[in-house]
Amino acid sequence: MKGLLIKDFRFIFKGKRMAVRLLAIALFLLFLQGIENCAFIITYITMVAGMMVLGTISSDEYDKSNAFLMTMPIDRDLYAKEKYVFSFACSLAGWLFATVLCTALQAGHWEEVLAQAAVIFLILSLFQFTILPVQLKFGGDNGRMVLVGIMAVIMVAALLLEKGLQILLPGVEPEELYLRVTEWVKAQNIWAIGIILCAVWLACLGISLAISKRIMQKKEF
Amino acid sequence: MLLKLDHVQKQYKDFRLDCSFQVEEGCVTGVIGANGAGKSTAFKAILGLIKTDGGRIEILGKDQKEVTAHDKESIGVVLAENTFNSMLTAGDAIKVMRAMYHRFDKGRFLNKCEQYGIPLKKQIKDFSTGMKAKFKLLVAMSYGARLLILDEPTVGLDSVTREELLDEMREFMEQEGRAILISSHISSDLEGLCDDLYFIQGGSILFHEDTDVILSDYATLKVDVEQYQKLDKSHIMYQQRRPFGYELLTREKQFYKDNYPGIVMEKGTIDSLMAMAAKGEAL
Repeated sequence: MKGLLIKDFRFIFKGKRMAVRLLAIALFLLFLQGIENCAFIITYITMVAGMMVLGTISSDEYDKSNAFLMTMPIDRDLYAKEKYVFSFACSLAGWLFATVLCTALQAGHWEEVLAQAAVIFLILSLFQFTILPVQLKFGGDNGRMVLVGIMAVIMVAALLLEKGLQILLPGVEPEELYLRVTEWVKAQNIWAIGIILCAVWLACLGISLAISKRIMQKKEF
Repeated sequence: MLLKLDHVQKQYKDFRLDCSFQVEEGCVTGVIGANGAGKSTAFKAILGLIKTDGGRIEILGKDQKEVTAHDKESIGVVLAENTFNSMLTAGDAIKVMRAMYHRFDKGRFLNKCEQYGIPLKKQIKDFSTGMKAKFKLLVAMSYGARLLILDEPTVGLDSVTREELLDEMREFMEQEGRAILISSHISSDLEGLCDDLYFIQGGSILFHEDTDVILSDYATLKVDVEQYQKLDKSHIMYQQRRPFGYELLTREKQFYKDNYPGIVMEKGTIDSLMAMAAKGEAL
């Protein structure tokens, strides 16, 4: 796996200019949104960092170098696993950078920032677990089209959920519902919640990785 | 035996591969055929890049499905179209190779890169065709592989570069226990390098012959209709109608030389064999 990671990191370092541009956009947006909007900046930087894996998959597909990779001392399962490790490493680096930045800027509310950052990381991880198999299955442009479709489905599902909640809980505003959920979470044992979230995260990772491995096993080059 | 294919089959919509061949230790075996004959499909099947529909592939004495990452360190590969990610440089490739192959010989690889003028800091996408071909072969030979599987390694190259690469392959074969499987449609490359040749057409092996035998025993006979009618055709493999009469391919050059001294006869070459096998009528 070390060789594959070296390959992917050296590939993304070729796009230094792009990384600087993305960072500049992040800082500009931070300035625009105000430093109190940490959730946005953490989400943006973590997501952009995590998305770098898509560039490596597209690039492997684009010049068919993945066929050559499969002749090297790796197997298809390892290729899939490496994409998860790479994606996790990039997301984590972006998340750490953004979280440290936001915590420093809002030193007075550091606990709140950290809690937000943790939730954002978990949610974005779930997003990564969805897009990785899609990208491995459909590759570059087709994969992006499928992702747009998935995003559309998620948005429709969220709208339907909101409508459903309005019917089930008439008169309760979304903000109020959010507060109620927050209060309920605060009333629970924080360790128990943490363990449940970790278990769900690991289960999602396991399912996503199993799907990706299966996709790679079936792939022809 | 380092490689054996036994009725390996792959069915596509309009093409079917069904071929058997083998590569012995100490031998350079060539697979020759026109574009689309099935060479690359057979190579992809050997390397496990495509799933086969039947047959058996044995590589380094093991069933191909049981080949491990460790075994792959003994197989050097050149694919016709692909190599490392083209955004990387040769310098990046060295770092990847060091992490992947225990026996990667960095010193030798660097020397060879210098010898062939391969820049270490230039992206592979900016390499010339010749540079890329040399780089691919040097990569395949950089970690002490026992078996080289080379799909069209000399395609698109000028004669000087081709000869340089062929010399590298000859040097590789100086060590015992090694073998090369090479495909090409440039017959002169194979004539000077291969011990034996397989002719592939339409996904099937038409025939297998030692290169020396092709060059010494095969001949193309050119006869008019009258000569054709009187000719003993028991040693004719293929025939093709021509404006002057017939063109015939034989494996028994000496027989026709001794018995039909007036016949126009051309020395057997891989090209003449390929042409007759592709367009002629088998007898």
